[in-house]
Order: sequence, then C-alpha cells, then structure tokens
Amino acid sequence: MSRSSGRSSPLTPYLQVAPLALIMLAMVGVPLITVVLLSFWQSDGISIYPEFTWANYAQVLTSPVTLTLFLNTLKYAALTLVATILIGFTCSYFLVFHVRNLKWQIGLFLLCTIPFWTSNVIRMVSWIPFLGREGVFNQALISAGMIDQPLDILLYSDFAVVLTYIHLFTLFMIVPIFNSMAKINPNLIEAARDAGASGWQILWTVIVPLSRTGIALGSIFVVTLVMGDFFVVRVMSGGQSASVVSAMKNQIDQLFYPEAAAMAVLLIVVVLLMVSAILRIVDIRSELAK
Amino acid sequence: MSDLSRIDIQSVTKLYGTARAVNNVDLVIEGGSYCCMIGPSGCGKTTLLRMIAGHEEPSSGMIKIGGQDVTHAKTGNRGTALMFQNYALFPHLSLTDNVAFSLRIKGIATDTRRQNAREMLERVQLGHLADRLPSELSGGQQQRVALARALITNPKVLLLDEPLSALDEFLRLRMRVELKRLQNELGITFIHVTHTQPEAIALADQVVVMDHGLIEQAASPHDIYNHPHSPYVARFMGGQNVLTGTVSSTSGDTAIVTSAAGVSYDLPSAPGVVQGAEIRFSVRRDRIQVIPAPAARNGLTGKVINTEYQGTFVKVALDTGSREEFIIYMPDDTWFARPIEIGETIHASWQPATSHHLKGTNNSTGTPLED
Repeated sequence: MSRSSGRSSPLTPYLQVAPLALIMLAMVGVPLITVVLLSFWQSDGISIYPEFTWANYAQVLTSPVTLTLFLNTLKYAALTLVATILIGFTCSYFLVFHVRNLKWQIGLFLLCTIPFWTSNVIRMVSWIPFLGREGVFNQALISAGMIDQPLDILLYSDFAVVLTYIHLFTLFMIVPIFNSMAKINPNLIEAARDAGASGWQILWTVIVPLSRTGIALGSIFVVTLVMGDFFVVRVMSGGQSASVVSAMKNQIDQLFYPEAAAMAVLLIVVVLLMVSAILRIVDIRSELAK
Repeated sequence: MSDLSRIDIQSVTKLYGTARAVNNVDLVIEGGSYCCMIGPSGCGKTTLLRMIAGHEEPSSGMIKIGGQDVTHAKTGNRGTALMFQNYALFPHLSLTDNVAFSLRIKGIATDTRRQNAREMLERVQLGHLADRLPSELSGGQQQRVALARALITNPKVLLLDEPLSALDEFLRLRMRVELKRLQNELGITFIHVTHTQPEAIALADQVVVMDHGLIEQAASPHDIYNHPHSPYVARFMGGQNVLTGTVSSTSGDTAIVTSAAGVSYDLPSAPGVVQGAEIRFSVRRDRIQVIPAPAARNGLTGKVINTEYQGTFVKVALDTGSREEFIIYMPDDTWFARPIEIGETIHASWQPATSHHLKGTNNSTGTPLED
C-alpha cells in the first residue's frame, strides 16, 4: 500500500477495481443472467413469453439426445486432452531440458505460434485438401503402395474433428506446461540423479509432479475450448456428428431460444464441475503463489 | 572403513572447450578424513567435487574410491552422496519422502523406507516435522534435511558443496560444529567445498587450496597456516604478510634478504635461494612486536593507515610504501596500554624464525571473496 500521495481514502481500492469490474459485469455478467432468465421462459417456436416454466429443463434433461450429445462432446474432450497433454509435455520437455540455450528456446517457442498468425478457420479448412478422398495423404499412401482404396475415415469423421482440435489447441497446453517446467530447479534433477534415479525415474518422480500445475491449467483451457466448440465439429465431421453447442446452434436457428438457453446452462454446470474437479486434483492457487 | 572411503585422484583434467577448469590434478584424500577444498570462484574446486560425485566426467585421468576405479561409474552408484549448495530438496515431497527418495529409487517398500527416513530425520532432530513440506522449513532445517537425505544411502563419501554459505553467521557456526560431530560419529570421508577460510581451518583434517584449476597446496590446516606454499596461499588463507626482497648473501644454512627499503631479513637457505634472486616470504601478523626505534634487521617502518578493534586483538594496518598493506595483530592490552593513532609512524620487528620462505611462484593477490 503506497501512502505517498497522502490522499488515499478507503474508496481508492474500489475505484481502482471498478473499470475491470464494470467491463466484466457488462460483458460476462449481463449475458449470463440473460441466458439463465431465458432458460425459464416459455416459447412456442414463433415467439417467446416471459413466463416462468420448468418445461425447457424438463425437455432437455429427459431427452435421450442430450445424453448422446454430452457423451460425444466429452469423448472429443477426453481424446483431445490426452493427445494435447502428450504432445504439450513432450514439446515443453524438449524446449526446457534439451534446448538449454535461451535464444533457441525463444526461437522455437515462436515457431510454435506461427499457426496462430492466421485464422482458426483457415487452419481448420486447410486440413480438408490434405485428408480428403483425393487428398494429399491418401494419394501418398496409395502411391507408396500401402493401401489400394483411399481411406474414408480421414475426413468428415471423428478422427478429423479430434485431429483439428489437437492442431488448434496444443499450444494452449504447451505454454503453461513450458512455464511450470522452466521453473524446475536443475539442481533437483541432479539431486535425483545423485540418488541413483534413471532418466525415466527422474521424469516420473520429479518432472511430472512439478509440471502438474501447467498440465492442470492447460487442461482447463483445452477442455473449455472443446466443450464450447460447434464450428469444428460441423465442418470436420461433414455434419455427421454433433456436439452440445452445435445442437444448441440448431435450436437457435429454429428460434427455440429458451431450450437452447437451458442446454447452455446445463453445459456451464458440466464444465464448471470438470474445472473444479481439475482444481481439486491440483491446487493451482498455492502453486501460482510461489 | 577408512580404506573403503579413501579417494585417489590421478592426473585428472576437466576441459570446458579449451578452458581447463581442473588442470592435471593429483590428490589423495585419506579415508575417514575431513577434507576442505578452498579457493576463489572459478578455481575448479566445485568441478573437482562434481567429478568425484559423478555429475561431470573427467576429460582425462582417473578417480578411485576405496581403490576402485569410478571415473566413469554411474552417479549414485559409486558410494558418494552430494549435498547441494541450495539443498535441492524436492518441493513436492514431504520431509520423509525427500529423505526416502533414494530408497524409493532402489525399489524399497513404502513402509520400510518411510520408517528408515523417520529414523534418519530423528537423527538430525527433525522427527517432529516429518510430514511438512520443505518450503515450511527454515534454512537451517532445510540443510539438515538435505544432510539426512544424503546420509540415508550410507555413503562412503559425503560431498558438500558450500553447505553453509546460505546460512546466517550464527547458524553457520552451529552447523559447522554439527558437521564435524557427524563426521566423527560416522567415520566416513567428508569433502567440503568452501570459500571461507575460518571454516576450512576449523573443520578440516586436510585443506586443499586451489587456484586456476591447480592445487596450490594440500596439507593440514596447521601446515597451511604456518607454512604456506606460495604468496597466493599466504594471502588467501589470511593472517600473513607477504614481503619481497633480494637475496644479498648466503652462508651455511641461512640467507640474508634485503628489501627495497634496505632492511635485511634472515631466512633459512633453501634451493632457489641464491644470491641475486628475488624471493618472497611471509610473516604471521600475530607474531610481530611494535618497538620504539627502527629495527636494524627483521623489521620495518610504516605509517598507520587504519586500526580496527577485534575484541581479543587490534588490527593495525601500515603503509610501508609497497602496494600491499602490512598488518599487525596487536594484543589488545598492549594496544590499550599505549593506543596508536592513525597517521603515526611506527616500527615493527619480529624474530628471524618467524619469516617463512614462500617456495611457490603463484603471486596472485588471492583476495578472499566476500559473499
């Protein structure tokens, strides 16, 4: 607390917080409240009536489609999470423990961000000519004599969806893991080696436990991004698969706003549960405070 | 035990690029002894320690522990344990699991290794904190955990890399006593790297003074202090004045050396002490008397530039016209009987036998590093 101005009043901290608080209220608070309100209103497909009803929730919670949608979305999230953790951990490990030179570390790190210089849509769509029936990959496999028929599973499939997620979101895993790995004191690794630990033992007993904050933060990013996506699912599955949000999009297109709002509230609850589960496993606050 | 923990270092060299961090070093450390390696930063003492621990491989030469060649043996498999300067405790593990770490690596069952770790923690008086995390401990406690973790493997040799440098003065003195006690109890070899002279003198059976990758002198603290090998050792270990003179004559077993100021000094003759040669010799600061008139021999005259009361003695610094201050430790009662003012010119004198010829040629200033 600086008292140098001599004019600091009890109001000062509130005034300092006010701009951010107002922006958060307007951009996050109001829309959220609107969605929650809307989920309790009635509609008949043409217009919406501001009258209280449980019907939207009853419909969402009793429909077998909801469960299928959530399971499908969770499947995407789980597959993407596993793959991004593996890739993110490996890349960070390489950057921190093999590329000791700071200039090279920064250079390679920037290299990881190059895909971000263009839009998500372009990055996603550029997989299509690569993975398609007549695409580069199938052609290469055929001319290498490894397959006779082009593989259909490559594009407009769950595979394509998950692959795109991994491509889009791995950096969100690399950054926090790199950050927590870079904080590991190299002496700890020497201390483990001094105790006779092999490379794998050092990895499991020292590096993985000390990277868990980064893994948890990255997991939160990846899980929330996948759970909230509808565009990748729609394009890369060729309309054959749906996620929670893509179903919501359909409902909105058909002007069933209250049902979509109820679904949105349910999604928020599920994501909150997942995030709090992650936070229970790893105490991010205490680790970040260090 | 003592033969098992004897260390032989034979013509060991460590190159970093073209820099010689350790330059063709030979050293024998007796089993069960307390050895202190001392020198300024970058003198190669830590590199030598790390090569004994197996964290660095020598570029050439051989290291033997208990007669066995361990030059290329795996770290953690050669009977050594290293205690790191900043302790390197695992922040995610409790004290018990920190201490039990090497047992876990060996695949010892959880209950057994925790039991052993608790016993070791009791031994360093930390049994009551066994379930805490390292971050909840004070510096002195962390150090004792690091010690317990190093000792649980029953090493033949314990290597300590500046173990006391992170502690405050009070704790440092207490831990120093504890280290010595522990070493007596265990009877294993301790190798302790430090850059603090009193630490080395107080702890060691053998002091190894290093500079620029070379061992300047390896001897008992008494020998190092009373018979320094070179001007560098004399200056670095402290408590000595280094003087320069030219041999003007030799006869039988004595030589007469004349300083630039024209004063003669009696020194024992030795190889290299021939007429016309420039030699250096040391005089212990606490073996010098202040006399009323200029001494004809074995003394000098200078202007007092500083006095410092040290409790049991008074440190008087003289400007004698050379680049180096000449320092006298006067007993405090002598000084208080007739205090000396700054700016006064005084005369010093000492017994001829106090002058010690410095055979070595390393004439670097060896200023002790202050942390």
